[in-house]
Amino acid sequence: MERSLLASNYLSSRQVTTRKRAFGRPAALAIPALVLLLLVTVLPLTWLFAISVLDPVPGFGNYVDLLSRAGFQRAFLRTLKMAAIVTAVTLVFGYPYAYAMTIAGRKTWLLLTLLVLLPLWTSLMARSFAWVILLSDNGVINNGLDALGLGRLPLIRTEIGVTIGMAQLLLPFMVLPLYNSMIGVDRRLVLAAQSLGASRLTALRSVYLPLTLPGIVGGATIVFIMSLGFYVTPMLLGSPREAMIAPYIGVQVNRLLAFNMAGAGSFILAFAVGIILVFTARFLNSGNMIGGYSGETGGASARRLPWSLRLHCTVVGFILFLPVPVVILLAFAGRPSFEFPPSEYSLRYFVHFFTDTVWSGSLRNSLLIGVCSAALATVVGSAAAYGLTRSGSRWCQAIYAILLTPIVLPGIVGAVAAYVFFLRLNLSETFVGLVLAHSVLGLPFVLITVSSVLKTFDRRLEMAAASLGASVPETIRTVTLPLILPGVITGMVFAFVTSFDEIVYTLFLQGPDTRTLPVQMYLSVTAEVDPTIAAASTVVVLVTTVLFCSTYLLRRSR
Amino acid sequence: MTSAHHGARVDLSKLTKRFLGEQAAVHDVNLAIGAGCFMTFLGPSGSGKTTTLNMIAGFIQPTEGSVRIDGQEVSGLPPNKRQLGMVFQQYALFPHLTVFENVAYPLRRRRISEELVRRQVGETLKRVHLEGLAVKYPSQLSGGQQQRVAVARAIVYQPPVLLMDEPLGALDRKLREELQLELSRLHRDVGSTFIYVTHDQEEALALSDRIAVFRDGRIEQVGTPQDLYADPACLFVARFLGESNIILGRRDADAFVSRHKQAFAIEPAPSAMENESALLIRPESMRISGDGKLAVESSLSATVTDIVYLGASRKIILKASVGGDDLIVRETSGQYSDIRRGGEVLVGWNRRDAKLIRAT
Ligand SMILES: Nc1ncnc2c1ncn2[C@@H]1O[C@H](COP(=O)(O)OP(=O)(O)OP(=O)(O)O)[C@@H](O)[C@H]1O
Ligand SMILES: [Mg+2]
Repeated sequence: MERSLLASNYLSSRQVTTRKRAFGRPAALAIPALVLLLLVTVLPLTWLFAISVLDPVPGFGNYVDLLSRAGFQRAFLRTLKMAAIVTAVTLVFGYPYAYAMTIAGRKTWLLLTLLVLLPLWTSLMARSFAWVILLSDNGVINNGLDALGLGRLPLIRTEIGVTIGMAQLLLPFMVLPLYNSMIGVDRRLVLAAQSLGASRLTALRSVYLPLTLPGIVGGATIVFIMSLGFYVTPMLLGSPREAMIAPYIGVQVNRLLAFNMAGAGSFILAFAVGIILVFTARFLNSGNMIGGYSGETGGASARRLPWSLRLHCTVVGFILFLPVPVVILLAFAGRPSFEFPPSEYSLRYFVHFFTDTVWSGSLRNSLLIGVCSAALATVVGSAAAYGLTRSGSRWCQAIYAILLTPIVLPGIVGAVAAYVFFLRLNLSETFVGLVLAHSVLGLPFVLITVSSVLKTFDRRLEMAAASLGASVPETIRTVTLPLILPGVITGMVFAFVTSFDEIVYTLFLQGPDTRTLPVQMYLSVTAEVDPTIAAASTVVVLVTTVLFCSTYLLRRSR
Repeated sequence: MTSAHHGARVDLSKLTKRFLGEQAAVHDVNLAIGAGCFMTFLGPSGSGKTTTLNMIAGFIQPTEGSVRIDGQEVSGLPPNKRQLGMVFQQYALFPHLTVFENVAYPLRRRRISEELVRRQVGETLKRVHLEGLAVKYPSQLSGGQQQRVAVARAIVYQPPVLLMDEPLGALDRKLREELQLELSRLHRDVGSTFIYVTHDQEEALALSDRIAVFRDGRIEQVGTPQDLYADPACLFVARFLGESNIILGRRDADAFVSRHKQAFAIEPAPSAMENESALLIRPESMRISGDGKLAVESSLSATVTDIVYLGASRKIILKASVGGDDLIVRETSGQYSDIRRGGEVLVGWNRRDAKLIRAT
């Protein structure tokens, strides 16, 4: 009886004799992602470039004009200088820190990893706000110095303030590549050098340092490039008279409506980034940038760290962790003031946050845009990752790299281009426009996490499913998807948090009806003394922490 | 599931596969596999066995030629429409599904009622002795158990053709022999056509109805295990199946003259045989004598270099006095107890036990 049942199935399938193989061209699955990138990044950049060389007259007049302006020159040089300082600071603080991670025991390793990743999952705006409080003229640091009889220092609205603010945000991007290159080094080489007569320090300098050079160059490149495009931090912590290039470009767009000049400035910045990448691209790989997120390899040795390293890590960890208790304490303030620690405590600012239409509206917008853009990025990005890892074509490497460009494109350049282009399409200030832009920013994370699980995925499982009678969609639904789900979910969480925390694109693309939480926080910091922002920060930190912890637990349970 | 059903016949004609920019991995393979036959593809690594199997399964499109199942061309069909079963080398069990769900997978794809699924899976698991393990996950099973699950999953829907790519390759020797017996029994019970890939000659001889010997993407010879062992078409097949004594040389009228100018008597051979050829004598047909007297038609003198004890038999390894070729003699019933290592002996064979074969 079963025989006849199976046989009828068997026979009916035989009527299909000459059909093209259903596996088709998997690379086609990358098309939606490319279309998205085209719409949000490629076309806008092209459009912006066209404006910069065509308006008002064809040629490179705008570039010559801009480069000859003293204000632009100063901003450009200051940006280069700040980027160099921030890179140096993160390297000096990050190198021993990363080294400590490689020799720490399991528990210490976990703590160090969590601390260094803290800036990635505690909102940019929350941290920036905390540093405004810490560095202000009547802030914790200055009060402390004053109490010690050392007098007050100008910190906020100086380059010191900007350096501190940027360095602590960028530290993970230095430490992760360093750590990845360090765990690849055979530590016995250092011992060998010592046995050959080198002192410990000489051995480290002459053997370890050169071997970790790829990590140093990789980390320095990422940090330098990201520093060039910083927009919000310099505006909050820096002096308006000492503008950096990104705020300079922003002013061209927002205040002067000089899109041609903004375009020229953007492409000068992008050109600088491009030149750096040409020389250092071979030291970069996507694993360097977020590989550490999923790394669970550390903590092999059980040695105690030497006291010097422990001191160093404690100081760095303290600086990284400091903003969290500051915003949480401030959130419970009882009076409309940023005094720290607060003299009275209450829940009134949480109540205000959830009941005030402006604040709760912005939270709702953020959640909605976050969910929609994460969903879009996940679907489109997973499909692209699947297609690109499955296709044997040489082009796939290139397409993959192109889809990752939103990571290296300075935020201000992409934001200005998207703004100018979306204005033409009547997409600016709209919900759709923000979702599209945010999903492109989340796309690289989905691509990276999903591709990495697909690479370790045993393809014979799909062949087995096919031989057992599953069609291609059935195979994907019953075998591929359940097995790569942890990667997909991780990618989706990253995409959501990216959107939830996004500020640069959003500042340009938002409108009165589409104001997001980070934008509202930004406006609040710059405009008023209202501890509601601390309550908002606390809620944001809580949301992302819960999300990341549950993702981690989900991966662990598999 | 008590009644055996019939397998499908599989015909390969002019099957060729060239991977992009490579030499042909499979070249002009023609093979008729009878319904219900246990056919083994045997050959060294890289000889095209897996590629051929994958063309039958539909994972690889042939560059030329056709695959027909029960006379029906299947080239246009994707793997899931070919109604084949396949057992993969490292089993390819679905790690996120239990044993039961793994075995039920092909039935579910065929939209069979849940009750029937439960019954079929239960019967199949019993057949491979896994009744108690239905709720376990593959990672909780031993290698042999995983292998049984893979087989159960491939036979549960009684495919007319079952393909197996080195299914026992990852197991230790004892387990392999045990599972070989089970596979033989399963083949008789199920009645499907089995196509089995291996590079283990003993396995091929033990299991198969017919063996196709692959070499560099071509089929060198097809036949029953007895045919191939007793009457290999060429040196390659002779060396690949069982142990052999090979004497290189050329045919000269009714005799065979070795490279070292020794002449041996041979049976009359077809005159089409090329001049360059070889004489093959299986070790169990060789005779030795320590006292210079040997009642055989061909003989030569040699020194005993080694005696290997194999349990039920002994293997005596010799070096020919002229030319220094290695020779092997298999002693099966203790008849050469007087032979010692280092001894000078006479070694020989009867004319009918010496096969003249192609030397290429
Ligand atoms: N996808 C591929 N692309 C290019 N060449 C391939 C591909 N698959 C197999 N080949 C080549 O085809 C030839 C035959 O390979 P095949 O896998 O069929 O050998 P095999 O007989 O199964 O060997 P083994 O016993 O090692 O499994 C080899 O030379 C191999 O390098
Ligand atoms: Mg193979």
